[in-house]
Amino acid sequence: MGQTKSQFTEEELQDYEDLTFFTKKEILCAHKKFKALAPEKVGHNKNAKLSMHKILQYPELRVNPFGDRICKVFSSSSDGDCTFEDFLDMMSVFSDAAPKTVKAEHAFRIFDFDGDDMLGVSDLRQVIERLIGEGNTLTDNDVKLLIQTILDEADLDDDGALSFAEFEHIIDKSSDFSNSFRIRL
Amino acid sequence: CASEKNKCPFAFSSENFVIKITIKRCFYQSRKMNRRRTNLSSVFNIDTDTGGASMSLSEREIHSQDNLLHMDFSERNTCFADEFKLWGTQSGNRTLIQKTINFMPSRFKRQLSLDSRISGPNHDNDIEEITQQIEQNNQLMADNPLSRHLRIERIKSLPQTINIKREISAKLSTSARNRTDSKSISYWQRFKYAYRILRTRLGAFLANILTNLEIWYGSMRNIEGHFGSGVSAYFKFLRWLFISYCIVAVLCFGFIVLPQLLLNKHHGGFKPTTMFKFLDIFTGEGYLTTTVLFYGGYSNETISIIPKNTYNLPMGYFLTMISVYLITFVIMSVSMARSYRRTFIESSGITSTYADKIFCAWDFGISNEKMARLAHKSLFNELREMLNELEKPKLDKTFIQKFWNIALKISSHFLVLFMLAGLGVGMWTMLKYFEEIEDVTRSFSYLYLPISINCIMLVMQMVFGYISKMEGYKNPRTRVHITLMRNFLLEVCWETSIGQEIYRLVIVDFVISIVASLSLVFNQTLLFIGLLYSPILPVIVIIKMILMFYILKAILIKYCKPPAKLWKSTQTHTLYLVMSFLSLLGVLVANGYIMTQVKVSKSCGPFRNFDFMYEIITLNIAKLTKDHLFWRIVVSITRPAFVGGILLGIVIVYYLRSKSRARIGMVKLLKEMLYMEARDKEFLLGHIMKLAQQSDSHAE
Repeated sequence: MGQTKSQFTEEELQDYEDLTFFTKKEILCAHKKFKALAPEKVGHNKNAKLSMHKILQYPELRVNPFGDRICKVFSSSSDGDCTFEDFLDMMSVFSDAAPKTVKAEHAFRIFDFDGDDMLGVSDLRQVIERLIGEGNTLTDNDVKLLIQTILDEADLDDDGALSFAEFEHIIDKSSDFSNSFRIRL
Repeated sequence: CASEKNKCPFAFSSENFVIKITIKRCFYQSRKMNRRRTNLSSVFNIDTDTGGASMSLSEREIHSQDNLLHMDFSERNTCFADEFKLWGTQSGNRTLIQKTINFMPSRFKRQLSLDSRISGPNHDNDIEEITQQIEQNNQLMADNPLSRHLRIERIKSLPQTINIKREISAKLSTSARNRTDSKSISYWQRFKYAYRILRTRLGAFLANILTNLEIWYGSMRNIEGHFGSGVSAYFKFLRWLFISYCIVAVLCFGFIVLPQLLLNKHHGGFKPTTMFKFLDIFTGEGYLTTTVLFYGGYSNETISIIPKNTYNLPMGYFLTMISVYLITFVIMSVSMARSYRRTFIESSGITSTYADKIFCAWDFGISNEKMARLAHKSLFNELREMLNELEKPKLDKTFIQKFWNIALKISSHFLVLFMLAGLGVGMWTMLKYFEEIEDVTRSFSYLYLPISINCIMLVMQMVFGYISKMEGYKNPRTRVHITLMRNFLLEVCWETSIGQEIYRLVIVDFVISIVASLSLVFNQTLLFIGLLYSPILPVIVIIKMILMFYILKAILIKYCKPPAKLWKSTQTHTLYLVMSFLSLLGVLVANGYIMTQVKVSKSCGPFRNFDFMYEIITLNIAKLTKDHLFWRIVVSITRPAFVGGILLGIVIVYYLRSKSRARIGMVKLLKEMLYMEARDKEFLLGHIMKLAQQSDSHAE
């Protein structure tokens, strides 16, 4: 613990505390977890950039069907490779202290596979396919029906895709979102 | 636009009639622009690429959202038209359509926040824009610590990378320092800000301490990763109760037990009346009768060990009890109300079960391969079920079927109530029977009652589970909730013992319940009933809970599989809170009745001098006697029916208010969407007309 603490100065910790939803202790804990992914590389440079492959070794991300999307959304170079700051940002958004709006914002980006700021039919299709896993398949008609029902429920302005406002509305009504969209450090 | 190709979808003839119709058609087409993206992009021969939208200098000047929306229309048209031409001739970062859409008013607002996760040449633009946007807000830009704090809060919730946030923060600090035109804020405003800062700082400080102290953190994470958030909800509730009992124990110990112990020491040690037998731990009789464990062991003196300081033990006893009950009641009712509002009231109205399932169903806390596979499987099954429901036509149940369903449900309710009544009668007769036995095995006989109670409860739990399966509730969650509530009713029937009985129940319940699933609410009910008569009870319950946690956890990990169906934990949590609240309410009413109406025993305990317990307050502090006018008013106001009516009124008002709050939120959202829709329509129509005119002039 002594070695980790010496890697960060007090101002840096304060800086991170101001920019994320973590306390200083949690930031150090996050760094410890980050270092566990690639001990030698992070030992040299505390803000080292790790490849997406390495980041996805983190237990919760490895089994998550959207793991690669999460890495891409939080990576500052948008190719999935994350520095420690990106990782800290990720954990901060997934923590308990982050407000629902921030989580909704990032969830929207994670589910927006084609990056067009709307959750269209193709985005929803990919979300469904990833959720049901590899071994199981639904027929094409089934998926179409499901997507149509979702759009009927949630697409308030009837333009065939979910905008952020509509997505946020669904999230607001769901009482389980804060519990599901959470990774404990 | 598209100067290389002669094709242009906006080539109109100069006749007005045709223009109008084509404009209309284009308007409707614009709504489907997203889908037609690929067609038009091929027409305009633009490379698709990802990246930030570039904005011209003129666009950056017109920065704040308000300006944009109320801007002079012709001015915007010129900027946009120029940009449009520019994108048409060079390969831009995004497709032409995407850029057009991004300029629509409804998207423009979000553009500023969304678009800059990516670093690159447009990185600086976005920082500039966000900085300027925040600078509009005078509140955040004053040069004092309050504003600094508010600024930090604002920046925290921006959805940007840490680097960008850092730069924005630095820029804002420098510009705040350079501000000379900050007007002084009034005292009231300063007070409000200072209060807010203090509260946030206090919250952060407490959070820091609490994360250090968060007990059982590792175990909870383990359980959550392996079994999902449904199971961990039970353990979280257990931990919450545990912490509240710790506080209760500390209060009771400090104010009641400790003074009595000191007093005993002062008087020269504790003089037991009988010898200690091992069985006494289970029965609470004999040796333990006159210890500080029970009410009888407390004297009614005013202690003065430290000279010149007196401590009135009876007063301390009474006031501590009252405050503990009230504080717990308040905390419990507030959490229950908040949880209930969140789960049931806010999410009523238009339900979105399918969207909810897709977006909120995956528990991001799962960290284990097996659990993940199970989660996938269960989601697949649930989606399959939902699809089946959608696909089959809705058969109206025949009248006979509906009738049969309702009859089944009503009859099972009656069956349960009948069984409970029967059990109550059985228990009562058993109590009476045992009172008449007087023999050597007296100590064992005390145990018959608690053991039988617990065994019967076990059996009844299984019976209830079977009955609810028979009823055929569709939703398995409803089934479990109803079983939980029936078990709760079961426990309510047994609130007949006090003091020693409670102690015995606590101990025996622990022993037996290692085998079966435990009921936390039962525990709590017992604790609060017995608290008045046995101040050390919280300590015992705490020890019990610690052991419970570890034993349950071990059983869970060793013998249980992860649940096949994913569990929505928030509704169950609300149910736990509601049951705890109801039991606490019942206990309060019962104890209140005892305090005010039941005569105190004259030979032991701290209240021997009084007729009723509450008189210690009225006679000592307020010196009120029975005939005082004030007292008569208080008595008439606190008539049960009156109080009950007021409480009911409060509950109804709260419910209606939360409902209206949820509706107001929905109305706001829809209003904003309508507004944006109208603005989008204006924008697109204007540009279409402009382009039509331009192409007209080209054609001529």
